[in-house]
Amino acid sequence: MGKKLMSNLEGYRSLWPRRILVIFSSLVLFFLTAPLVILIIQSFTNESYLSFPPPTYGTRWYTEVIYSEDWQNATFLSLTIAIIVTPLSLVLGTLVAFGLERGPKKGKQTIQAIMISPMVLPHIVLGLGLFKIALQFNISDSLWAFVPAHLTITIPFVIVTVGASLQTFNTSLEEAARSLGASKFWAVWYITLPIISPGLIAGAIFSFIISFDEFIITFFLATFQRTLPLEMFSTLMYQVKPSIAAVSALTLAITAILTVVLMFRGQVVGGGKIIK
Amino acid sequence: MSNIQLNNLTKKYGSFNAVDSINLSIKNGEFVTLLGPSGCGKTTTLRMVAGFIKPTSGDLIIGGSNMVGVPPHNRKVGLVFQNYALFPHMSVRKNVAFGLKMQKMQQSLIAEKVNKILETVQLQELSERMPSELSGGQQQRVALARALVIEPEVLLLDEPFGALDKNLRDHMRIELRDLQRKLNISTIFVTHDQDEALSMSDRIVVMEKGKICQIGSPNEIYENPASVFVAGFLGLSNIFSAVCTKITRAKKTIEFEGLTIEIESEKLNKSDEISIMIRPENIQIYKKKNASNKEDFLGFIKSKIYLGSTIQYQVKIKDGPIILINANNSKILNFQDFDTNEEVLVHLSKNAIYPII
Repeated sequence: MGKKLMSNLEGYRSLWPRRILVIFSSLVLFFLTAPLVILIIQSFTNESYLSFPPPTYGTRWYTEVIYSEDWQNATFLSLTIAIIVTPLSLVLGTLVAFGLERGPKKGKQTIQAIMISPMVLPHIVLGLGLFKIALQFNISDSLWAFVPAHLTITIPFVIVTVGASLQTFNTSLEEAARSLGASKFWAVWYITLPIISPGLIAGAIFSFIISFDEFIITFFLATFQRTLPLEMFSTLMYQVKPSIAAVSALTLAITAILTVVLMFRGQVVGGGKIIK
Repeated sequence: MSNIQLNNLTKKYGSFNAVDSINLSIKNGEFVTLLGPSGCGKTTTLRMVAGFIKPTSGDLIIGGSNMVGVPPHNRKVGLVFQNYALFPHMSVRKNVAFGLKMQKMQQSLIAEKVNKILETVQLQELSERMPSELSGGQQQRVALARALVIEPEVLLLDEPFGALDKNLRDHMRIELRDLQRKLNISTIFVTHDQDEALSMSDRIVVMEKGKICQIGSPNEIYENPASVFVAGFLGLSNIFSAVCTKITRAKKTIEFEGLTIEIESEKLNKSDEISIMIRPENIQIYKKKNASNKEDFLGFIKSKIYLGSTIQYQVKIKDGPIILINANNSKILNFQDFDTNEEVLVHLSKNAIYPII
């Protein structure tokens, strides 16, 4: 008697939760991607206004954006900042992660909490503070303000990703290298860094994308200079043209390509090579 | 000449003595095992020799020079870890070449040395594989080759067989010992496995709570343990508290657990309270008959465990203790099996009783 009942129950148990999970996940996926999909479709309109679905299709707005000097300058500034921020953020964040992981245990929690607090602090508060400092040093509206400001919010991400890799890193590998004649520095260089490279690459991706997308803090620090998000914002202030959709789609494409490329590379450097 | 000397080597963590003033000198080419339960300080000692832990006090002399304060990479010490610690992102060849590369040796010379050591450990065919593509035994050989290729003055082995299955472990034991003899390299081997210690060592250092309990050859340690701890840690043993009740010249009568027996011992004085050790393989049991000998005692089989080459019995001696007996399960020796609850005669020879004084 018991056997049949059991098998029936098991049937229900294996089927329904799975179905609900699939439905739920599909909904989440839909809500996450729908705005992006609509935006991309809208960007290919041939009209001078935004509508969905667009009555006619074309690449008119892409051409306009690519040849516009304002958009070019903004993109160039954003890329410049991100390219300077990423390596600095990686080096500084990695050093902090090593310090937290390998340093004295006492006070570690507190220091870690302070170091990664910009991740959870409202950016508007950070922006206000940084604005004050920038005024004090008379560096606002320049790379000298943008780069350090972006570093305050990108470094925590490197600390977290590299810290996670370091936690699972087997320190006896480093000791093995040292017993084989490598000084502490070279042991880290030849052994630790290549092995934690997935964490380093993730940290670099985060740093680049966060810096490239940053709006609130940059808004406080900029007067005449415009990064890409600032340019988008000021364009939106005047009118909602399809050019904004085209820029958004392009930004999305750059970020997506970068992520995919770096993630693929990360796999080759990190786990992939070991398995191959 | 002693190749390695530990003089009053001490490591304190706060008020806790992880290693408490130990003295040990290891001859050139000697294989010395640090044996003890976890927390006895054996690994701390090894890591002090390797240079990863700075001693609180004492000296560590390797090849004539004091190594205290010298960083690990300047010590010429080869280290094999329990988990092998092979570099997962490097091929076998690169793993082995790492130490030579750090010495900035010429490429051609590196290749030559790596090939030679890979041949020694029979891995030349696998040299381009990644560590994850190797079996446990192969990984261990790589770790060994990597440690040996730098021609260290000392080889340190930290429980290197822990991750291997039993057959492979037995095989690697012999292989490692052969290689160590061939290269004549002084070796410190850390283990908690008494079989490994007994089968491989020139000398065993038994440690407990940061102190050395006894140093001696495997034979000495097993047959003449210096303390109850050593007796209990190495091999199976019956250990009882005993009192010396009577002395007639060389013969001393002792009493333990209700039994009275005469043994020969020079050191024993009247009323001495001692411990005695009886190894289970040194006790014989017979089919029940009348106890005619002073060394025979009546008892019955309380339980038995079949172990293949031996059978282990727990025998309750009448008006006496429960005693562990290992009987050789040999067809040649005409071994007779006993059943549970069967009454038997236990023979405790005076030669089998070892007083720990």
